[in-house]
Amino acid sequence: MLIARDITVNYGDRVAVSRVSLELEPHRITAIIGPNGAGKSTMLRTLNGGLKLTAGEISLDGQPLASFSRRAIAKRIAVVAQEADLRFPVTVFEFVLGGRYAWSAPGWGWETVRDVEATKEVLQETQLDTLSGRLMNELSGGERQRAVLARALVTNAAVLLLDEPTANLDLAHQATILALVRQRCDRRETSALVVTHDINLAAEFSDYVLLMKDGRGVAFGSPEEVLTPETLKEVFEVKVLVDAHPVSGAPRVTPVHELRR
Amino acid sequence: MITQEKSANAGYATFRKAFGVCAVLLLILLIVFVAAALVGSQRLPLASTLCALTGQIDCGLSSEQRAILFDIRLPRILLAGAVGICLATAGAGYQALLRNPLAEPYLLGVSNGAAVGTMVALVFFGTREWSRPVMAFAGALAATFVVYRLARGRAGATPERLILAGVIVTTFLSSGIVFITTMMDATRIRSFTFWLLGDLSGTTSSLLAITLLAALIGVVVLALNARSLNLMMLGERDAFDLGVEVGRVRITVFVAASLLVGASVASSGSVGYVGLVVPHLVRLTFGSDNRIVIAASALAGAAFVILADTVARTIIAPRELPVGAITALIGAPLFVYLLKRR
Repeated sequence: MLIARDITVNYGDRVAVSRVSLELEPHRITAIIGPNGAGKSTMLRTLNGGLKLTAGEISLDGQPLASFSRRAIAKRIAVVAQEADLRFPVTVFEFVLGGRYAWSAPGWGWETVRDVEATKEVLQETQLDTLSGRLMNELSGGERQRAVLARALVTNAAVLLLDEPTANLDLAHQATILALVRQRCDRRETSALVVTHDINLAAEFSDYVLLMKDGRGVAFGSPEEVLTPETLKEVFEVKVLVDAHPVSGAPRVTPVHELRR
Repeated sequence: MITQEKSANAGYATFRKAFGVCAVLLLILLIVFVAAALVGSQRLPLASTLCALTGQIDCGLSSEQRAILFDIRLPRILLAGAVGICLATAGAGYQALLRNPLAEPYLLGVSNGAAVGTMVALVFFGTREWSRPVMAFAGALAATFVVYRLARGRAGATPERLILAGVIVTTFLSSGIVFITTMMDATRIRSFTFWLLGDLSGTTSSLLAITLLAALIGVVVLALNARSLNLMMLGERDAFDLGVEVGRVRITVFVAASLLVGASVASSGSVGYVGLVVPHLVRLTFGSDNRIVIAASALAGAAFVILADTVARTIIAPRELPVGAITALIGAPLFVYLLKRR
């Protein structure tokens, strides 16, 4: 699938990502966590060719990423951004159907029956089928984010890159989005990489965690291995308490703020 | 349930819709075309005119009427149509590319770029007619490039920055236009002022042919990029992620739109607001799919400018208004409305 070896990305003189390696496996979800400016989103954007590598290499299905065309990458790697930018009115169906772009013929590219079928399936999968005729900007935040996820799922890409997909959502909608990602990874040969600020959410849903700071990968492994009080203190510079979640057993991180009373 | 039924075959539905929309607009365009051929300082009879338009010789039109129809009105209507196609599709292209419903060749300074190009051609290569569209195209392209570079901030070109950059370039080029105008003799200034406001009366058959050709090329190129524009309209980064070669599409659309604006300005000056009014009405009526918006804007734009020009040459006949005055009269209030609604 997607393998990054010792990748370094510079913004001008500033090093944003420094010698980070990562391998995504089918059926697995990897979370990237770390403080602001750690290089998480840069990492994500580099992995689908959105940013140029300064050093290192990325390979996709055994071939260098750079050897793929834009369309070929889009068939294999889908990105879910934080929010859609909606200045023109489009329906949910049209929006999600846009995810089939890479599969259509160049030029006019009228959608085929297969594109439409795939879109309908994904709308059902994401429980948006009853809203398919509605305009995107009439939806609630949670519904809209589900549509953004649906557009990524309809590409049938084997790699899903999600950049803080739940940042603006309430608890229930956060769970829905991540459950959908989990479901896709369980049912197909799909792997997901999720950038998030929510350590506890990462601990719950991910199989692996990559902890980043100042562009470097500090730790990589299962949530239990990575989310230790020592490592977290080093990375976030805040004292934390780590215990087991009473229901799921996943590590639970609670910051201990030493504020004056 | 109904929405699901409707969306079941969206691919074919979009195609059928595009076809249907184009058929209806083509019919409207034909009606406007014929109506415009009939009215004017001298009214022509419907049956004979239709007969003559289909290419028959013996239709009962006097030789004077034939001359009016074929030498005066027809070229002008064709030019109006071509200008409408050029400006409306260029507007639709800019709006999708810049993700701004207010983007328009005039607002972006592209038309002024083309106008300066045309004026330079007139001053320096006055006798060579082809130099006008070529220089106009170069001017439009240069203005587009400068506006785009000015607008590009660290986070890319935001629509707001772009419009501001357009205002700056427009103002700058306007002073250039004033400068060139002052170098002209007094008799030419009046016709220039007219031309600057958009004037379809002073064209030649070769300029008409060039404008029609540019319209055809520009529309085809934009239409071929329409699906990519559908995605770019919702954000360049998202479009990139979904497989659009954003850089290539951007350059292609900028060049095609500059060609359209250049050809139109070279032949008829600055007809304003067509690129704003037409795509807006099209989107309001038929939705935002650019495959439909671009084709429909071409047809509706042609009908709109033909109609506006017919009004311009008949409303205070035998005197004429510049067509740009009519389009601005309709366009400016719509612009205010769009701005208020944002």
